[in-house]
Amino acid sequence: MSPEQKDRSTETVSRPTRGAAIATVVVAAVVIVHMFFTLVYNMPFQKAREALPTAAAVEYMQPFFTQDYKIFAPNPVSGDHQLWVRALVEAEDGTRTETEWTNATAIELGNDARRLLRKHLSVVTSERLLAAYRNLNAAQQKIVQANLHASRVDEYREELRAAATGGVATSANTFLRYARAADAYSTQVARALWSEDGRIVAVQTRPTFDRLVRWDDRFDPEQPRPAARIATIGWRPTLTFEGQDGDAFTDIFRNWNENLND
Amino acid sequence: MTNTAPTSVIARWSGRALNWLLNDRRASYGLAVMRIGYGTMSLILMLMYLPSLSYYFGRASTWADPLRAVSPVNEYPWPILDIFPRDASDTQLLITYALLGVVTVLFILGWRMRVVAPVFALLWLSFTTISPMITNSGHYATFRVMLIFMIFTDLSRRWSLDAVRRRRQAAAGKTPRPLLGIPRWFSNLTNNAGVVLIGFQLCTIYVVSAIWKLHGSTWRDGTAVYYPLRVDELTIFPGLSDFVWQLTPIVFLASWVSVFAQLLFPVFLLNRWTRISILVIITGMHVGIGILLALPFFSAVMLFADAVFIRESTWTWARGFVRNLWDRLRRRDRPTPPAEADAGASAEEPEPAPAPAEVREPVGVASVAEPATGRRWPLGRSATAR
Repeated sequence: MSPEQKDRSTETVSRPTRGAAIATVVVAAVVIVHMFFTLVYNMPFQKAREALPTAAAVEYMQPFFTQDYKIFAPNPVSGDHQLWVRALVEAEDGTRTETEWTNATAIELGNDARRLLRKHLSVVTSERLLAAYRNLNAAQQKIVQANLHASRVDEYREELRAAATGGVATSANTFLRYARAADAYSTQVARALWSEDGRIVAVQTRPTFDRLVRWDDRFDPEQPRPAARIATIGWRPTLTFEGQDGDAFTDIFRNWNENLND
Repeated sequence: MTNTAPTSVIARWSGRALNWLLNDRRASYGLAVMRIGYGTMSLILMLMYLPSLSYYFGRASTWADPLRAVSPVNEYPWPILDIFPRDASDTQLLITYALLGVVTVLFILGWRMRVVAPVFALLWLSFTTISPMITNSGHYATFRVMLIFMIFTDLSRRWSLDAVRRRRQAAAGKTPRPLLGIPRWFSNLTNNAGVVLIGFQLCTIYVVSAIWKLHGSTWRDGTAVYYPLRVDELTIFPGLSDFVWQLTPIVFLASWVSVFAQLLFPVFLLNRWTRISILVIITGMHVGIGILLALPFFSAVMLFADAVFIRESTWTWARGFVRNLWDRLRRRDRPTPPAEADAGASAEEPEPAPAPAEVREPVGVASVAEPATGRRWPLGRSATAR
């Protein structure tokens, strides 16, 4: 007799009290409803999603049970998301200098222990900003590519919304949201890396997706990586939100930069 | 009364189900592993974030406000959003963070879990609202869902301070009082419902992620694993990752095994030997992901939860095995008379196999049904499930 059979043979089955029976039915019903909505919410087939009460499932699952199990799927990530930053720095004598492009993601990932602390803020920002940029239409991308003076910020936003296809400004608003975060992040990065050289006048952010060498070319050392996906976004005025502790950011980020791969 | 065959089968199965749900708290060792594992993981994460706390969660991260504006966590009810407010000073954050750290330690130790577990869940959920881009995504989402289920379970029946206290009380002849007069069958029921939900969630994760993978060409053609092995963000041992992606058969095997082991996970659970096989394969897969893809916390979340699928008797056997081994090693180091050595071992951790005193009591449904007589009614043809 296997241990499993032994266990079963010693189980005593008894009739529960009415209270226990009712409670069991109620709890079982709750569990079954939860399971049903979990399955509907996670349903990996589009046609089935359309046929099932997906809206009700989403309503039920949010906010406590939100989940997404597209783990490395449908295909795993096939490149490196990076956020590059450069700044326009004005020295005391009034001369203005453009810094080199700096890979902020490399600094954020510059230590093995930190690398384990996913998700990485610069990677998240890069991913979302690049996706939002690619959702803009050609006219909107052209507006975004132009440099922007601080006095034209409101006008620029309206222009971007007005250029939306079919008058639906969702993609413009999504881009503006992530671009604001990116501008504010780049301002902090620029302050940490270059504020000793002068006043940070403007920043430029470049989210990139640096694609890996394809499977078929993996053993060819001469094979360059395929062209990276890049969002070209013009120069932007510095942006600092109320409550931002720039000194704390500078202390941490500068320290990371000085101790890369330590 | 004579039952027709189908009625009899239904009666027997419903009897078994009721017995499973009401008569004991299941997966006690698996839940202990989850409690200790999840608590330790949280503590390690908190310690790792500590040197740069402001960058990730404090005032240095205010730049990320537009990212936080769109997150389901913003819909959490009071008081979750108010314990770790986003506009808190770094000092206030540090104090609340330290409080979370203390509660996490109590959670790991299993002290007064009926209170500490919900408090830990509340504090953790609140903490995850500060920077949901980090802590409400990926493995943290699974951690959150599991944590909610765990609140309903008895997390401290094994390997906990609560268990030690109960043993001492039992040794002193004291009968533990049920919390707030809640009958034992009810806490059994909620525990077991929690265990079912944890198991179901794991099966959902594995099957759904496998089906999503089958939507992708690289998983089907077997080359998928190559790409994450070369992604900078996912590389912690570059030499090792480079070595592995160059082993073409391993890449194919790892890609296909990942998909099919996950897809068939629930089916493999149905039989003892396939269950053991699938747990070994899945464990291997998670160890691989943890080391080669710099995702140890994702792997840990899944592996600790997988522990609920290991039967109680296996855990009891493993516990006895480790203790015997430990005793033998100690005896080898310090030769002592056998009687003395046995006494020492028993004082350290008594009763390997039997359940604690409270479980040996007639906690089953029958004792609740008829406390005065303790009478038990048989279901179907026999009072004993086969």
